[in-house]
Amino acid sequence: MSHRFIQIALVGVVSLTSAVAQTAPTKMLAAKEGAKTWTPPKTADGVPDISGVFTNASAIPLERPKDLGSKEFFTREEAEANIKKVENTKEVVAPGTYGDVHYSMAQFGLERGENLLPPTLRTSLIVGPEGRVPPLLPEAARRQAAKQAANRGHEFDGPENRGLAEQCILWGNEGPPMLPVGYNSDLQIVQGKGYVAILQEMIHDTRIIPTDGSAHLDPSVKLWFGDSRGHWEGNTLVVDTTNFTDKTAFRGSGDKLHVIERFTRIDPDDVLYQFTVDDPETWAKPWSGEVTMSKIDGPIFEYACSEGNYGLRNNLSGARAAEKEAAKK
Amino acid sequence: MTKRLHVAVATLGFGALLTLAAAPLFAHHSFAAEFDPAKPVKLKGTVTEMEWINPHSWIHIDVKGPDGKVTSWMVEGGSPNALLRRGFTKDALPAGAEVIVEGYQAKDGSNRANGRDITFADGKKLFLGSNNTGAPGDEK
Amino acid sequence: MPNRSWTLSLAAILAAAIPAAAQTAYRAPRAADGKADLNGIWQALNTADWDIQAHAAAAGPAPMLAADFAQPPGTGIVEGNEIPYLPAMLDKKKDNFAKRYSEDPEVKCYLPGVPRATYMPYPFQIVQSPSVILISYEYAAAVRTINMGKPTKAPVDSWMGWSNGHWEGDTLVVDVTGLNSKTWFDRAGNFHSDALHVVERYTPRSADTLMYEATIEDPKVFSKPWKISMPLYRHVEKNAQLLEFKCVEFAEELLYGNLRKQPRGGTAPK
Repeated sequence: MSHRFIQIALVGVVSLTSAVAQTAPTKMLAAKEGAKTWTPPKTADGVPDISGVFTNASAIPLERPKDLGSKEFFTREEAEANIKKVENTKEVVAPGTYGDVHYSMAQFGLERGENLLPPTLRTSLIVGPEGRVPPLLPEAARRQAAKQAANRGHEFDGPENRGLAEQCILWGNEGPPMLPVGYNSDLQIVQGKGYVAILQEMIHDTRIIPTDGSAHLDPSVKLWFGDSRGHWEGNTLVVDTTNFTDKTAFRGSGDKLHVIERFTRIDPDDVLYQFTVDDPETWAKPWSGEVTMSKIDGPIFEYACSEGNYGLRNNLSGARAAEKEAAKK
Repeated sequence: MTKRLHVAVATLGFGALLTLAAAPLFAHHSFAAEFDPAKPVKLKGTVTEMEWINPHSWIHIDVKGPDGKVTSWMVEGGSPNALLRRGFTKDALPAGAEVIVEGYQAKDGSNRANGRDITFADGKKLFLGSNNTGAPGDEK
Repeated sequence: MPNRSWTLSLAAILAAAIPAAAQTAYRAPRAADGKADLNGIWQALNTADWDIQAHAAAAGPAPMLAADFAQPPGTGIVEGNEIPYLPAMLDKKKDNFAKRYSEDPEVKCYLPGVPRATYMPYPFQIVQSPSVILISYEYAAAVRTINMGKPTKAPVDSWMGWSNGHWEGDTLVVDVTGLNSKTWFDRAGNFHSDALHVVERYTPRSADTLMYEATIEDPKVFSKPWKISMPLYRHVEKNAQLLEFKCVEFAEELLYGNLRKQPRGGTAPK
């Protein structure tokens, strides 16, 4: 099962194949080298302009494939060869198996995640020599194992046993940190006086971040998205987020999750998004990553989720039907 | 034997990975109990309505059986947002269109199917081909 | 001729007086692009979400919750207090009202649509930029982006509609189309079809209030357009902030309770 999952994950990297072949090399390199000489424009309110409609879709996985070790960057040739290799990895799916039970992603334009060029030669979104999420602290691993054990055998008992995404409560990409998601990986940044609003298409949640340096909420208030406070450092918006609920459980985190994000416009079409995640009750050390957000034509289309969530209902109904069938035997 | 590049499966996998801690680990499609791989269906019917909604679109069709009796089915599709970004509108699949659906039926036996392949009666793809061709204005 | 010159002088005095009167109307601070600044956290202060027409207090749906969730009274927000339903539509309104505590989309935490989002009993925040104005509603993470550039057409219907905006003086005028048929105007069952067309007007009336007006037209349900209006009040507390009311998890027992492996003790309608 896990081998298949890794294979599937590799196949996912192909999502931006044809686009990468046409990547403008200077664009990719500029992002990597930071393009520090470019001065971004200001909004009407006089702060750096990071507004727009963007996609953060990326061919690059969050974690570096183990066989790449400490290699943080591809050369351009290696990047293109890697994409080709993955593109030629095709998974064979037999009819009559669960793998074949899926609507056609291609029909709906979802199979490549509506790719844009990945202007980076990075081998993973996580930066640094390891390029992987640090191992969980023993207590966090115990916490996670206990959750999974409690759910084992009960995966379809009720709505709360399903994942947060299937319940249409929260999707894992939303964070913060905000990460690429399989499709509709889009967001819109609107800047008004004293605030930056970030609307994520999946799943129509909006973060509104004050930029006045005000203090966080009382620690007793715990939110799915935490509480975000921003300020400008030169051309970079720095956002500090605390007050997470442990229900968010970002990659196993608890309610001490703390995220720092940095938004910097690096060229007319791209905003570099960098993040650092720490949780002293989950990981022994902080870990950081980055992904480029590239301009797309707007708007963000509505992704009402719970309103159309036939799937959750049908999943539970199907499980009840399967139980009835099994009981007959 | 069907060869299928499960890119979609994989890209969804990232999303699934990120909710790993809280959720049971499934390979991809989290609606695993919804449809039954042991119940393949092939339906030919007339579109009565397409719901351009999320998390999945749904195409409602009337299927005439050999006895002349008409049954209503609903067929699951993908999120329509990518189609909208390519210029499709709700007029792209009008009521009255004849379609052929190949997929799998709901586990609870209801007239619901997962539309693995949906085409017009003449074999033409509903929206986009495998290279994302077919969008309005996509003649280049 | 003395009579005529006196009339002309009077006319001149009146003409001078009229602009002066206009100058005493409230003028909001400017946003950086010279338009009225509507940035802020706002909230309606009425009970329109229960019933947009004038209504007395009434018992609520849950006797054990007694006064907590009884219906509060309200003087209504509908100009003329009449909603001009087509005669054929009145039965549906009655039916909705009878089933309101199970059929109202708000009960299920569904998105409220426009204009209901404006008068839900939760704050919302306007984040205003020259090219797009974003309105984030605390209730159910509802959100709209108002296109302030060249108007565009809705490709499909949605819960929160498709908003094109422009300025008429200091009034933000928002033309909303592409609304699906699934929202209600209130908990009393007032409804519409997918032909709904709403034109909103947000006008600054003082430093901390806006006047909100919305013209509603839907030829499939109403015999003529009708209007609602209400003030919106700014949250002036220093720590004003939208928090989360992500009510989907609160609605799960209602929506899926009857599909549980082990039904919980208590109710799970339908």
